[in-house]
Amino acid sequence: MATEKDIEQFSVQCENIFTQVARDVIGQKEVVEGTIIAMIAGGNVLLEGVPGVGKTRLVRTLGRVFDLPFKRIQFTPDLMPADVTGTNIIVKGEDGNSKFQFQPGPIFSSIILADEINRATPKTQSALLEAMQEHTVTVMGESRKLSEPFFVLATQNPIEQDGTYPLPEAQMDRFMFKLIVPDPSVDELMDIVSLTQKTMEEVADCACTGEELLRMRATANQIPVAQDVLKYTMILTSATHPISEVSTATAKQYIRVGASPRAGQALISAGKVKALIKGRFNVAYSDIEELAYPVLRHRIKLNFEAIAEGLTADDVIKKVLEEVSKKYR
Amino acid sequence: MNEYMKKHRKHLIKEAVIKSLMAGLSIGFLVLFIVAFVFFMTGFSAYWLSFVIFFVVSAAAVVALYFLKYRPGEKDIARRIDKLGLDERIITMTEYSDNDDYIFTRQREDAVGSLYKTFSHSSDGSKKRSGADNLGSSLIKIVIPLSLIIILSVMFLFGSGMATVSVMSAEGVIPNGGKIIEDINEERNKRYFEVTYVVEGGGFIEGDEVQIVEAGKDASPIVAVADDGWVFMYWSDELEDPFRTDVKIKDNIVLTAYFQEAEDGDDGDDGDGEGDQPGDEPGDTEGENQGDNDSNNPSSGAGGKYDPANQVFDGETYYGGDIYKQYYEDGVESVSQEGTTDKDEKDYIIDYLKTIAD
Repeated sequence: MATEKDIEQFSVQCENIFTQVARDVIGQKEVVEGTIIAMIAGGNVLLEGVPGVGKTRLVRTLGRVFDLPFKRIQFTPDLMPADVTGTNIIVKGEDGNSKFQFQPGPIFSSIILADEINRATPKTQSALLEAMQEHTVTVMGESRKLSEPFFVLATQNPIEQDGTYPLPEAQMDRFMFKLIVPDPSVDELMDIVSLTQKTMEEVADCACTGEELLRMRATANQIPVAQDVLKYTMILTSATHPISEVSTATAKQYIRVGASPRAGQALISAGKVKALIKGRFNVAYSDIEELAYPVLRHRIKLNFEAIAEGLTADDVIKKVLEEVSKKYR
Repeated sequence: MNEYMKKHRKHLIKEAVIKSLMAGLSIGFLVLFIVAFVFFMTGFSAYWLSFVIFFVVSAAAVVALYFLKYRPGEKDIARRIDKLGLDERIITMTEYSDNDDYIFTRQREDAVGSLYKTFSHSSDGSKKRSGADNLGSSLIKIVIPLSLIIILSVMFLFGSGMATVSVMSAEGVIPNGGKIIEDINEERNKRYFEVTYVVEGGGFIEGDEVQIVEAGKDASPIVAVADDGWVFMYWSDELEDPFRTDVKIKDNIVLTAYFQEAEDGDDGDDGDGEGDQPGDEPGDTEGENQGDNDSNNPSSGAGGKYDPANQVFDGETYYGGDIYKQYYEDGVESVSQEGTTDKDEKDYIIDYLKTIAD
């Protein structure tokens, strides 16, 4: 059970994390907050943005701030699954006989930066599936548990589509959030340039250990959720399906495939963390609605009509939210 | 129940009562409409019964709706308070009120703190007294859904309108619905037929050539009149009389009047025949063609078979003596009847008639 100390620590550590991240990452408040919420809630994050907006830097900074083992995997078309998971190699034993020995890949870490994940082939992308969901890696029939906490923070570039492989739905679904990293504002650009003119060195300090992070997660998990809010969340998830008992007109018109049950889980888990970060001890409708965009935008597949009308996933989510909110709140 | 919940409960009970009243009355008016309609249609005169039913149903509906639908429960009150911007704190607190773990205790403290904070400010943002006393000055307003107001208004119009009609019907001001429907059906079930008279040859129809006649009723009289140099022959239904009044029409009919060009010496001109002279007797050989005396050609130029009553008094045609005798006898009989005319005048008229008859 969470104690007063846990609550106090959560609050203090959250403040420290945000402060330290802000030392290296200028602006991008929503992206930073989203990434931290996902990490506390135990989810993976897909960061999408054009080159140079600070995606990789943010992930590197988080690695430093959380004081966790950090590995970077640069995804390229020739990257093989074994390059990610590791493989068995033949070594000579003390008795002089050759034997297989498992050489762990970079995935055996706590924070994995999967840089430009959509440049690798689907086969290599799929090497992450088991690790992202079960936090285990199976090589040559042997499963190995990954250390906790474990996160995959992936980046991808929405342009330069040549030579890229869109992530399959199963992979997408394993990311708790898909965060769109916007271009910095003029003021933010000025701050970035001023900072980097002085030094390119990242200066963020450790604000939280892995154990503390797990405790924060455990504390957040105890935040109560009213039945009304829980039901609303599940209705919202289900309402993204074109065929369901609570399907919205928007979903019927614009969505080909709706969000999976993982979306509902993600909304509640992340909602608890968000509420606690705000200093509230219960999940509100507003938490769920704010989180609906990063949770749902990569889980719904738009149909041809939506694409033809130039609608984005966020536009459709907004319409679904309006309908669900009007009818069920 | 917590103190603040009790304070708001009274407020929401008022709202529930108003909603129940409105919804109950709507149901009552609907029932009134139905009952009044039935009474109106059946001609049932005890219209007061519909008002009794209205009051009973309305009262029952109000009570049932209050207890089954509108009576505010703890969660309903919590939800309403949360709508003031409390971010579901109160509903969560209500649901987990029996959990004493630290985080739930903190949640309750947070909820109550937010509640006081919310109620210590008026809706325009100005600061008011804080504390439990201030919870009485509720920001929760009684909200009546527009849909309920519209439904009640419509039901009132329908119910009261139908009740008025029913009362008027029962009082004999207007006929009852059954009678109105009966009349409408009778009118709707009436069938009409078209009676058309056409001509073939030289002639025309005197009267309405096309007539719309109700089934079973008679058409108006017409006569087939021949042009100069033509004679009427017969109708397409073999009737030889140019005058006709078709009776008891049961179908659409088209009747054709056939005319034939008059032969030499029988031009049919007003029934004149060669050698016809006033004073000639019908039996005279010279008058063979006078009028319609041709047995093979029953029509005359006057538009039909020869008949004393079918001729025009043109001063030229011989009409036969019998008819003048008949006119004389009718005149004498008429004049001889009791009246104000004195004997000398009667004698004078009789003498005059005699001159015509002669």
